[in-house]
Amino acid sequence: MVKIAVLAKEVPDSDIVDAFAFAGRLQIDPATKTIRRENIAVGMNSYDAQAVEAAMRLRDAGVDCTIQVLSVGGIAPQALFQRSFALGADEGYHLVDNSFAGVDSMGCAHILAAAIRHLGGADLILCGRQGTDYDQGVVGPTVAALLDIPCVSIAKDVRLVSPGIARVVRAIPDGEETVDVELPAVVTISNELGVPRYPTAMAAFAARRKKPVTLSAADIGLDAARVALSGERVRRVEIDIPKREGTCQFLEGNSASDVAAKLAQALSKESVI
Amino acid sequence: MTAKKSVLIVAQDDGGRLDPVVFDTVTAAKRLTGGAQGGVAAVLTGPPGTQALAEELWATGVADVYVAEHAALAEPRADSHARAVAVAVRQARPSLVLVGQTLLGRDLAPYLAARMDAGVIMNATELRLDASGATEVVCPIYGGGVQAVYRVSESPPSVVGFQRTVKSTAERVSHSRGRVIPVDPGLGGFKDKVKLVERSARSGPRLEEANVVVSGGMGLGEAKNYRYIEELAEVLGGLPGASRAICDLGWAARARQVGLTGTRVFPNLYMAVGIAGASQHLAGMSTSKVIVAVNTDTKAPIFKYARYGVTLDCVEFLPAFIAECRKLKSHS
Ligand SMILES: Cc1cc2nc3c(=O)[nH]c(=O)nc-3n(C[C@H](O)[C@H](O)[C@H](O)COP(=O)(O)OP(=O)(O)OC[C@H]3O[C@@H](n4cnc5c(N)ncnc54)[C@H](O)[C@@H]3O)c2cc1C
Ligand SMILES: Cc1cc2nc3c(=O)[nH]c(=O)nc-3n(C[C@H](O)[C@H](O)[C@H](O)COP(=O)(O)OP(=O)(O)OC[C@H]3O[C@@H](n4cnc5c(N)ncnc54)[C@H](O)[C@@H]3O)c2cc1C
Repeated sequence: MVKIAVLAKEVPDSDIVDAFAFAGRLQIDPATKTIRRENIAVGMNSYDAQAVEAAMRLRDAGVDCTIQVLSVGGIAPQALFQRSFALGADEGYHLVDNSFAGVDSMGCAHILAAAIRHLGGADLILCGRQGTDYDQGVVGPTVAALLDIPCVSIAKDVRLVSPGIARVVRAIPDGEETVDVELPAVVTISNELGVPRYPTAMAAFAARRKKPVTLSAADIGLDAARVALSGERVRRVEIDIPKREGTCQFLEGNSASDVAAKLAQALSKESVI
Repeated sequence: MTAKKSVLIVAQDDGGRLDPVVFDTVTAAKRLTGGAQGGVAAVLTGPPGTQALAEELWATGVADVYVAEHAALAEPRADSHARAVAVAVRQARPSLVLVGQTLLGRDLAPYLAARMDAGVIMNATELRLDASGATEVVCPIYGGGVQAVYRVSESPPSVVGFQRTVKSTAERVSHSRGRVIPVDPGLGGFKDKVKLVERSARSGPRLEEANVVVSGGMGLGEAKNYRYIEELAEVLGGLPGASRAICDLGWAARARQVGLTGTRVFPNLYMAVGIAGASQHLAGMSTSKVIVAVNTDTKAPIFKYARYGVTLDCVEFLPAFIAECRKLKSHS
């Protein structure tokens, strides 16, 4: 039996954040140095939904596995767990503790590594390539380093080719890289994996009765001071929404060729063509 | 904290030369340390022979280059390289470790921070000092729609991932030979648990070096219209790019993707055709010299960044513009 742990994070909808920022409607909370989330929907980080998908594909391929989903914090984590259960996750673990307030990526990785250890380890740890909020991409490699196991990042395909070996295709700037990695290992999933499936209505309904297990710092044997320490080392002191004044010159004309000629002229004057 | 700043740059190679992001990190590190003598050092990790790259670093004015060579460092894997860098950090004792965000650098920085039990922050575009002399790091978040500033502790030195923000090239400021300080990477019993099966080869000119980039997005309407983008790029002597949305659909190859999770480009001319201008796309092209947007929606975000705007249907406009550019090129 292969044990798969999926790390999943709740994030504000990045399209809405973008639209708000552009419309000048995004607001900052000066106390917490975060954006105000009142009117912004939250949900599972899109890459993490793809990590769940990667786990399901392994199961579809005939891998005998248990799938655990672990998440730290969040304001409405039920949705994230319910979606995971509806897709076929067997167990959910929600990590919450007062001492987790203000954690950074490193602190979050310490929490997750401790939780994985507490749960008896995992053969394959799947996570997203980055959170769509802070775009860090730190948690996966850090969890790997803390557990002293390898990490393969930006994966578009994960298969088990023999007991204890995963074959991972990475989406790299030049195309693809295929590697064999010894398990246990962390693999971070990228959007190139493809669109994740949606749960059926029946599965979603059945999943409503399933609840994640809540674990505190003490439950997983984590020293709260350790988590606080990393929050102090990298502290956000300012947050700001860069304003952009448009100075675009719109080119108009009687026909497409007319506009095309005007643009070609303008660019040629700028010496860029 | 007003203690003297010192930065150790993790310099990475890119097929036998320094990766261009190294020059950005050198510029940022020099600014932070105020150009103080010995304020900026670098570490090179790689297979035997890597030391040759030290000359490129000396030329930028970085005199002290720590070099860890080992056969196990031939592959760009975070685990082995982070071990070697950690040894150099212990020797150099910097107040900050700066890692350029190459494919390796993205993983190496967090691995290294975990090994050193230090703080880590990625995507930095600027390093600066606050009024009290503490080090601050400027990082775009939410794809670039929001900007955050972090104060990072210096003991143990925080690890900062730095992105390429300008098309910088090596600027020779020094002609003197610096020092090579050999480092034992401590990889004696190291066994790589990741084995390469195959890797696509780098081929052709690179997007990030192109002077002209013509990118297409969902506004193209269908896959076959991407050929206009390729044709226009060719006529202009540039390269075709794409938004993530059309790469996800397979209209364009993944290597064409421009943006936060694609390639960052710095051309003289960037044409965004049928691209909305999401912050994650802008993150990869907003520093282009001249931006042209072709988009039927006059309210599309991309127009806030564009110098010239065209609001025609791009499928109608592209053939006309290609013809116009051909005319122009044949006259010149
Ligand atoms: C309880 C709580 C309180 C917080 N308070 C603050 C605060 O006061 N100030 C502040 O700046 N930030 C705060 N954060 C946010 C925090 O800094 C980061 O969001 C978090 O540490 C993860 O780092 P990241 O987004 O950089 O993840 P990345 O490294 O970008 O994420 C990569 C992958 O790691 C996994 N992952 C990341 N985060 C989690 C998670 N929480 N649970 C499970 N898997 C995860 C996912 O698979 C994700 O795709 C808080 C977060 C939590 C959970
Ligand atoms: C973490 C993260 C990372 C991401 N990384 C990237 C990245 O690296 N690169 C990237 O590009 N995206 C990235 N994205 C996705 C990004 O948020 C957008 O979804 C994407 O850029 C949209 O692509 P688009 O502009 O082609 O499509 P759309 O948003 O669908 O926009 C299409 C545009 O075409 C216009 N249009 C329609 N018809 C016509 C016509 N006939 N003629 C002319 N114009 C027309 C429309 O008005 C619209 O503005 C990322 C997202 C996340 C969350």
